[in-house]
Amino acid sequence: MSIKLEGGFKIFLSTWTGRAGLALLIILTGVSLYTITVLPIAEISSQWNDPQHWVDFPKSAPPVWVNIFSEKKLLETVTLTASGVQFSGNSKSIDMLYDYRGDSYPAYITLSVEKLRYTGTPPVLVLTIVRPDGYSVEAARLVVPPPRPGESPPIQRFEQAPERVLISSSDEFARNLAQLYGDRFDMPVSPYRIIQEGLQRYLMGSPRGGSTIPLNGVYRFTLTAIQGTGETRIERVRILIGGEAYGMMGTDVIGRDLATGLLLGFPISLFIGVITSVIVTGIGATLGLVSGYMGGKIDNTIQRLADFMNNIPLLPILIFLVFSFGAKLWIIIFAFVAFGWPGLTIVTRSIVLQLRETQFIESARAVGASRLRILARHIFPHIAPFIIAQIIFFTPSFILLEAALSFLGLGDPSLPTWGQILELGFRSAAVYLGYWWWILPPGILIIITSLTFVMISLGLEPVVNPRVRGRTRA
Amino acid sequence: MGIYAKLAFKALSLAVVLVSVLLFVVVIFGATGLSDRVLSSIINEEVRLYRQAVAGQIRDPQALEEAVTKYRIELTRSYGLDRPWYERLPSMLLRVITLDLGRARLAQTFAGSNLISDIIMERLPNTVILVSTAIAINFLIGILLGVRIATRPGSRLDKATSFLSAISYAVPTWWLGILFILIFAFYLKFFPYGGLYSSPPPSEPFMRALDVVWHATLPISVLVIVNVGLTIYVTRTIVLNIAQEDFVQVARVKGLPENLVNRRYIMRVAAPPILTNIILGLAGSIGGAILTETVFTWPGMGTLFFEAIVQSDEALILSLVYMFTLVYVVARFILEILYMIVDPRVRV
Repeated sequence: MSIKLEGGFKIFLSTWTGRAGLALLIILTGVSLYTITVLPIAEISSQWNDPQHWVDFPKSAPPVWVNIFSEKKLLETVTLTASGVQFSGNSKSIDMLYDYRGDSYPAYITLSVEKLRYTGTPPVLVLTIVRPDGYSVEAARLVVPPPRPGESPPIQRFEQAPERVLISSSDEFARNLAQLYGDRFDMPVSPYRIIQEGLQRYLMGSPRGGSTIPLNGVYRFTLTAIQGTGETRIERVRILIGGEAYGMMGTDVIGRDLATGLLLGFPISLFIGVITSVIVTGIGATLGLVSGYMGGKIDNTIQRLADFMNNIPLLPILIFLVFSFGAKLWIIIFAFVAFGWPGLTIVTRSIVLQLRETQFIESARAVGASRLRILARHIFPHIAPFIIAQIIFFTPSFILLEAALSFLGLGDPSLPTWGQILELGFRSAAVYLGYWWWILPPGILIIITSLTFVMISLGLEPVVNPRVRGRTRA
Repeated sequence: MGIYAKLAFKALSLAVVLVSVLLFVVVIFGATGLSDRVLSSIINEEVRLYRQAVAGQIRDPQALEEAVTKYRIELTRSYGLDRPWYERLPSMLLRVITLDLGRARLAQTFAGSNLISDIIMERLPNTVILVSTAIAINFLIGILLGVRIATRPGSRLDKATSFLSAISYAVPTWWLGILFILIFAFYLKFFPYGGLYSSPPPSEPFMRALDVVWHATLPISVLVIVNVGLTIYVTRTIVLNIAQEDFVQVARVKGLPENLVNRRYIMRVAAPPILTNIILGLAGSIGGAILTETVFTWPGMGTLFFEAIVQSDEALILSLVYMFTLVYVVARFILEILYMIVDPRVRV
């Protein structure tokens, strides 16, 4: 058996579709394993559906690499983060550097502070920005709430949700900028005008003819804790400078990082495809074996049922079932299984019928082997390769079905899938607005994943062709 | 068995399929409590109309309230909402068959009616036109090319089509639709984004028809492109197998012209299995149409299905499952008749 398997594998690898399919499968599995093991998957999937988590991110922004191909350069969104910040004794401030290179101003700037603990008196956090020309402006002042009665140190703040300051629309900041422009640049502007025209263009620009031009260079963002007497620890400080482009894959209308969503799609898509296919093939082949070998009433009943189920338009019924019972992963898989088995049952039965008439089965019967033994020891091994090939052959159809249901709005909302990314894209008119970075990658990934299994199927064809097998044995 | 008896038997078994699907659907509808919701929304609607009607006659608010409550109880009894779902199964089944399921939540006909039966009757022809045109074109191209390729097996064209048909199995129809909209409507502006007519639609009938064709080009192309590879491949395989049979060899050896051999000896035999293939592909085409219509906002039953899901309109979804099964069953029956025409063996 092992020699046979090895030989089969050689034949499989001799086809280019087999090699390509196997290579793709290894890549897909690798990415899925990486996603499951390295990324905190539960946390990320709950963040995915939480619009609050994505408020700071630019909406419907193309990926940053479009700049390579276009004349007009889009400003990249930059996130400056510092984790595990400790303020105590002499070290009372941290610096974060932003290298600003671009012809357009950032769209907005936000500061968020997550999970702060302090002992002693409550600190006040002050953010100052030092421009490349050396001038510095105070951008924000965040007063940490004092202890409530009964609270004992360390006092925890901003635990549930990070404290978020949209510094690019702060009146205080605008006043400070107006002062800077008035005192240093001899260009009196009112804070009102600064807010109106966008604070960023004054923060990140230098005066030129009554207006400003971008001032490229390194900006130093300094966060200082003042007034606190004890120790202050901040889990995460984030400054987000919102541009027009974001990350490797861009963002959607909520501001979600599409790269994250696409990455999560890998294991889910593979899981649904493979698990459903294994169950469907298991049930379908077993029923086919029983039906073909037992004959009589059992055969009749199974075949009638399979015929009937094969005669129903699948998608409307699946939509109905998932709609009635709720869009949960296991319900979707159950519906696929319930309506997926008949095709294979009919085919398996016809193969078993052919095998049953062969001489080696007849001789087994003549020796007095029981029905079960013949099924398990003689018939099953013959069709096992065919069944394995069927598992692979069916996988893409379930991946595509799940994607279709997701696209119709019936995907499991707790798991982000490629189909759901496309659904939101379609519903929020991304197609009509030409947001290709949102529409193309999920579709291409669905195709690549399905194609992987199609290629493996093609590569397996010369190894396990049931018809050829049946004929040579007879 | 005569030809009519055979047809009658086919019709009967398809009717059994239809009724079984309906029964299955209605049972699930009842068991999950969805049918209660549908019926009570029908009742609420009727009670509202009743209140408006009698409000002019009964001045005393208390008497009005009493009359309305009495009417509601009467309705509840007559719709069977006071009984468990399995007892009103037959009446629910009848209700679905006659599309008597009240009003849609938000969907409307062009004229503004929100009766489910009106909406479906307006959308049905659009779906039938789209799907049948796509199927017809698919098989026209599929058969012409398939037969052609079968005459040169192993050629480059042969290998290319079998590979392309494998690839098209992995492409979701609806995504290809989205891609086409992006390319041909957004970037190239050759075709409209979707819909049935331009707005406003041309008044002259001929221009109006052209307008529909212009709008249907992309959805039909998508439906054809995704399915045609498989049709070509299957046709090629069927024709190739028959062309290698002995009786075809004999015909060739006899010196019959190639044309005649193709027509009488090969195609005659190949027609029934090719038609079987069409029949098998029908259910898939209907599923593909639901998604393609949605992508192109083609005002057919598929788009309606999507709207019903988004609006969680239970009654509309139930009606659509029924209608899609009905369309499928009728189409099957028409193909079965065709099958009897092309396959003389069935007639004896």
